Amino acid sequence: MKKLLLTTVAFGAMTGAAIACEPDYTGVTLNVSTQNGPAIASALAAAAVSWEERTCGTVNVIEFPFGELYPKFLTAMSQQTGDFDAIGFVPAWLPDFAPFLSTMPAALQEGSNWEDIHPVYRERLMVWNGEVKSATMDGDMHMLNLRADLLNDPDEQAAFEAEYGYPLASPVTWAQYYDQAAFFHRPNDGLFGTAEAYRRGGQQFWYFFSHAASYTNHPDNPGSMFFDPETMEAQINNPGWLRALEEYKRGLDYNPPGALNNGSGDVRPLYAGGTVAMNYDWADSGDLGSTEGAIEGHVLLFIVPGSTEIWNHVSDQWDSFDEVVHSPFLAFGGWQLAVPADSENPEAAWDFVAEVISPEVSGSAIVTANSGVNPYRFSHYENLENWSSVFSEEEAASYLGAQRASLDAPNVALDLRLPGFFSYTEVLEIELSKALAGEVEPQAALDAIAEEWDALTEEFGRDSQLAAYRASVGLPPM
Amino acid sequence: MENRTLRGLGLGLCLIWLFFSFFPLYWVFVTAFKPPLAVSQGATYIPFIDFRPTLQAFRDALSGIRGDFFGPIASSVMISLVATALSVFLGSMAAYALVRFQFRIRLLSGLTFGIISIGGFVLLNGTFDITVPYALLIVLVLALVASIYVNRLPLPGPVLGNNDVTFWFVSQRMFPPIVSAFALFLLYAEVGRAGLPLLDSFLGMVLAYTAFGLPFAVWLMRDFLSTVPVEVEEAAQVDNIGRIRIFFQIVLPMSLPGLLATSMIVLAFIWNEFLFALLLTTGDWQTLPILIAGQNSSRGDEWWAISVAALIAIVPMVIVAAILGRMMRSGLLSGSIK
Repeated sequence: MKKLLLTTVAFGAMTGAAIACEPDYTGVTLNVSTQNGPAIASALAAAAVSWEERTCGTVNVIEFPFGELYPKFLTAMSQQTGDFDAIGFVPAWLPDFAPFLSTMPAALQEGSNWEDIHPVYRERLMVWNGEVKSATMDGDMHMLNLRADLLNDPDEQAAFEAEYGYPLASPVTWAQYYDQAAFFHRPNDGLFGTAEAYRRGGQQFWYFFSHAASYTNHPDNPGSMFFDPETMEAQINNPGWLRALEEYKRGLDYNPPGALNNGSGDVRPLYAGGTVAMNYDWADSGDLGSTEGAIEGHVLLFIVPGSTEIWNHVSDQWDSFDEVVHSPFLAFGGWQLAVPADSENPEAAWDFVAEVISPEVSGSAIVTANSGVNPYRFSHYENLENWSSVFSEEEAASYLGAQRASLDAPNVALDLRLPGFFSYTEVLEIELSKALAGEVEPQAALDAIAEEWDALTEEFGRDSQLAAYRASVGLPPM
Repeated sequence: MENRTLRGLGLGLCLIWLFFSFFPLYWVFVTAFKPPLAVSQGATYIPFIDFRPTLQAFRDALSGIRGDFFGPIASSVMISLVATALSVFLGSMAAYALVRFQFRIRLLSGLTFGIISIGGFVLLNGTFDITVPYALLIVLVLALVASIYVNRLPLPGPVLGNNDVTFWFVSQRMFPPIVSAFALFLLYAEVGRAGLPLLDSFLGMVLAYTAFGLPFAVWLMRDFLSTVPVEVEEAAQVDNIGRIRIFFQIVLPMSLPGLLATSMIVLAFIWNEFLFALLLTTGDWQTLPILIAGQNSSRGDEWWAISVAALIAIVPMVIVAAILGRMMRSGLLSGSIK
């Protein structure tokens, strides 16, 4: 009888285990690494809980300082230490990492969950040389943050229209953006026009790129924003970039004092605390404003301004457009997950990646405070009620509307992705800081950057860099 | 009158110096209690007056959403204490040898070591495909034996003395740490492939940090040990006491203040070391400096979180310094030189 009972219990346990573990990864431990939390790491930790329940495997989330992630991952993968089964990184590093990454299994590249990912990520940022090497787990872009309490104030509206001759509304061009920045710039009242990041090392160049995308991302010359995709000649000193730099620098006039020392971490509380009338930033400003800020309930997000003129590097002239062309810049491009080729558990690792980016788990992550995860699936934009813990209904509508409009924009601009990314951006930041500080003229700074970029391209190998650049912007090999 | 003026001036300068010394600590302390908006909207100084203090940053840190604090603290404590003890122990012995014995090392002997080790490694690894750890082991043993033999020969050329040996120890800390850190990472990776995992292990970190702390220990202890009167040791030798016993039972107790001071300095260096920890650890033995650096994320400088992490990192060192400082002043030093 005792034997029968034990057999029954054992069989029941085995059956239970078989049902509980799907697929069964009992005994498998995944080392998943990314930057220190809470952003992104907490989302991975949350996904680890559901993955462990489903598969009976174990996940260690290993965190490193953001500034050290790139060398840490690259050294580990190139030396094939097998330290990591999955890594969370940024798209700009994909060109350097791609040779050491496994390709996403075909089974994950089909079905409704796959189609649900926005094509900008699915077909462009996750792909390198025609192969899906990573999975987007966070959608990132710059958006314009305005304040409903100012924008909808009848007195402000009347005064603005009287001064500028058009209604106060979300600025659709950078000229309108600066009109509003000038209008609301009232230092004596403790209100400043806008806040942008200008500090070297404070993610300044992404703010500059957002300006530049509007003037250089020509719809007829895809992939020509940073380099000529035919010759790999640097484009950063062309008149489009010059206009962007002059405007970016002009913004200092409407920023709070000491703006040259402000990084992205500083512009958020300036907006959320009501010190500035607007800023443009990743979703963090809106999140902070609606949850902890002095402007709670007044957060309004829009697509970043565009332009009716874009520099054509082929014809060497400005092209005019009847309608404003928006070139929303996918700054940073969001966090991605990939499985290193030296992982001992690639199958389980990709299964974990699938868990993280599943509509259910990611749908929860996007509305979880401090997860750092922003929408990137069509389904993420559907249920406004999910956002009630973060935004009011109006705020949620504008937040999701701005994100979706940016991704859907036909002329959306992707971030620079190139082997040696850090070398290129380091040069850029040095010269950019000199121009912003007034030490050199903007054109001279841009010329210096272009010269250095061309030298770096030669150093890395012009042909290989050209091939990589074309791959990064979705152009076929030459 | 003149004395009182000078005294007042000195006191004033001391107070100014005290202010400059303590203000950063005060700033870190109050920032740890600030909400994000109070950090970024201009300077605020006094809790409850300038800003409403919050424990949120501490809650975030201790709840684990900013990374596991307890694991790195435990790793840091264990690794740094063991590595410090080993460094000071081995460093004291090396320093004692440098104080009491005269070394004569022929330059040609050193060159022999270099040629055999490098050439032998290239030969074994490149030609005979012997894996890196085994090739290194073989050539280092061979080179050591050969160089000792060569040193005994009456060869011409310069002869290096104790000061040169001391300088060689100290020179290990002169080049940028990345030079040795990355080489060590590659070596550990190779040794790991050979079956002895050193990356992200207690043993690997202790070995690395012992080597890291050894130059400081040798350099500092050499000075401390040179103040121990040689007559005491000679008296012991007359009583037929062996050199090892003299070292452990006479010299070390007499050098206790030096041992403690050296331990504090080596411990501080190891406790705060970042680069080796970054390259040589992943998840299991990550140390506190990695976690502290991680508080500066891709979302910008979150000073409230950085301050909390800094406070947590300071506390163990303050405790250790207080204990060692007390020991230095207490009767434990009764056997030391007065």
